[in-house]
Amino acid sequence: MTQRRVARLSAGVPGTAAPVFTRLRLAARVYRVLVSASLRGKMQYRLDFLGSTLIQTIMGSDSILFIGAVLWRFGPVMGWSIYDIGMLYAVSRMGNGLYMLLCNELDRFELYMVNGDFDTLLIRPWPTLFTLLARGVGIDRLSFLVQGAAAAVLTAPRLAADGVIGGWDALWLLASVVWSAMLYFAVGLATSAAGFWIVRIEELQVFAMNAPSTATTYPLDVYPSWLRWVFVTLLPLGLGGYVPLRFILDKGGSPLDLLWPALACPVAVWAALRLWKTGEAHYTSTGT
Amino acid sequence: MLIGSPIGRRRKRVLIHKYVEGVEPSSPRETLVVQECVAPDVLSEASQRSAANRITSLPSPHPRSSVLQTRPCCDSLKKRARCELTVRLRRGRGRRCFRVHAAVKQWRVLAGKGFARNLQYSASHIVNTAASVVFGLIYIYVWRAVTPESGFGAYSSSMIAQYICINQTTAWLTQFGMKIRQRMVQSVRSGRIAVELARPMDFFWYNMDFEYGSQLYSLMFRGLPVGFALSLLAQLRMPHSAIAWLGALASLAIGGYIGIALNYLVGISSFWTNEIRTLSWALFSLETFLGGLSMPLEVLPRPLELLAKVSPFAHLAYYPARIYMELSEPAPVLAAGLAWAVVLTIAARRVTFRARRRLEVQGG
Repeated sequence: MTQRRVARLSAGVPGTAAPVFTRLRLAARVYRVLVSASLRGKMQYRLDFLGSTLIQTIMGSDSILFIGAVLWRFGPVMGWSIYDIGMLYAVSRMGNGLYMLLCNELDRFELYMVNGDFDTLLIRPWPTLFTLLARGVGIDRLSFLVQGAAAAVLTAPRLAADGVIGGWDALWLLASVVWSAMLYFAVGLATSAAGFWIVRIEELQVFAMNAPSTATTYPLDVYPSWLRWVFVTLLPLGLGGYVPLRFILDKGGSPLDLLWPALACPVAVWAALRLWKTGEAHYTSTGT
Repeated sequence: MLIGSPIGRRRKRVLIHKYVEGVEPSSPRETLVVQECVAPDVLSEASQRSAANRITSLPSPHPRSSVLQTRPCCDSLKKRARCELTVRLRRGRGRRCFRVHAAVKQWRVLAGKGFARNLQYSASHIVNTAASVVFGLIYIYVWRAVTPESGFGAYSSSMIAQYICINQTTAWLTQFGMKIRQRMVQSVRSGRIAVELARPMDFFWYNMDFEYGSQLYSLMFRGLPVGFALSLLAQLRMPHSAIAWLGALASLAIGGYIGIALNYLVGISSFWTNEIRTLSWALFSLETFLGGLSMPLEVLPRPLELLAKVSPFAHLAYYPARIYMELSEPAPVLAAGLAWAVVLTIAARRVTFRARRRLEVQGG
């Protein structure tokens, strides 16, 4: 039974003669099997999972609490009200949450390099990135999505009542979440790929992911132009949230602001995938 | 044994201690005394049994003991003597001044090791320092955007920038980069904790000393560069009075102690739960929010502000910065900080006592 199942799953391995559709279908199936196995493992301690998600949701909202306390005290920042910033936070946080949910193993990639666990991915009959991502879903990072969703639910009615956002804007906001997640993926993948050369990437992740992630939960208008440029080009996490929301929330900009992320995201993901492929070719095992 | 020796007990103890420190006996008679004192038959039976295990966990010999290291028999003798001394100290048989001296030495050795261990990660620390500079820039620019021209309370726009700059520097001693929690969890999971608890020194002080040295490294090689970079933007002003300097340094030292003690309490909870991520998150958020890392506590609503000011978290960032900026009197702040340090020490030691009883050693 198991052998038949393995044979079926291996039938669509890349490089074989199976049609594209069949390979995709089988890839989805393998992904589902691996992810469900990972989830079963993580849900062994359900109470711990629920408790930690709840506390992380409440306690991990420090950046929005910070900006909330500041705005409560001083009023709008550069024309952005607390509701505008709440929506910006929601989009950025949900984008980050999606990334963490689906690509949690990229966040832990340093361990694969240091312990030599990447060797085990190389002998699997699937691309290493696919196998890596399927190994673990960041179900314990749901708190990010919950925080973002809570901020959106709290701010959207007021923005709608003020006429700032309308019916179609909801679609653009959802698209912004997806773009934001794609940019997180691109930056996260590129940072992880650096691990093929430098092995230790935890500090690099703080620099390339955490710092821009925090920065882009605030309107980029507060930063000088050079820093704004960094956050929409070199570390482009601001491109997924701030740029489209600037137009959606009537804070300036033009309709092109909706187009830039749609163009930039595939390019960023493609560049990151190329870097990953190059790094993989240079991989040297540290042993196990 | 030394029965009938003309040298008294106190003198013998001093001689042994000097010997352990690496000072060669000055006369043949002293040499004889030392050699007899550290002879195996002086060691108690219990300490002989566990000596082999304990010796591996003892701090390495003092670098000054070069003379002793040239003599083949001295290394083992010295280790035995150190072991015996530590056992005596733990049993409270040493004199008080002697115990204080040994405690200082222990702190010096362990803190030195914690400090030195970090030197091998200097490249990654440079990247992290750059990230910390970016975080500092974010907060400084956000504050510049929101602060009214007239400022608020005792803070002008420029003072807020200085406040952020100081905190991004000092937090490397009091908050950032602490490994104590993770180290304890890993020890519990791997079963290595059994060896650590068997060391002939107090578990709490061992961790405190080691972590303090590590944090001092972080302050010097990570915090100060961040502070220097941010001070170019924030135009950091030096305190005018020596009292403010001393007060700020003392407050910072106490803040470091409080920060490590809080992390220790979270870390030792792994004896019960085996998983401390939730508590770590909670501690991080409380440190950030109630500690005033990214904003003066006066920004918070009044009840929350009062709560934060009397909490231990305020001593991690808010009070050291206030004293440095000469906005708070050092004396009452230091007194409150010391009180929190004592409370947390008592709590940590009591929890450690319970944890020892609760421990289930894993692994094999």
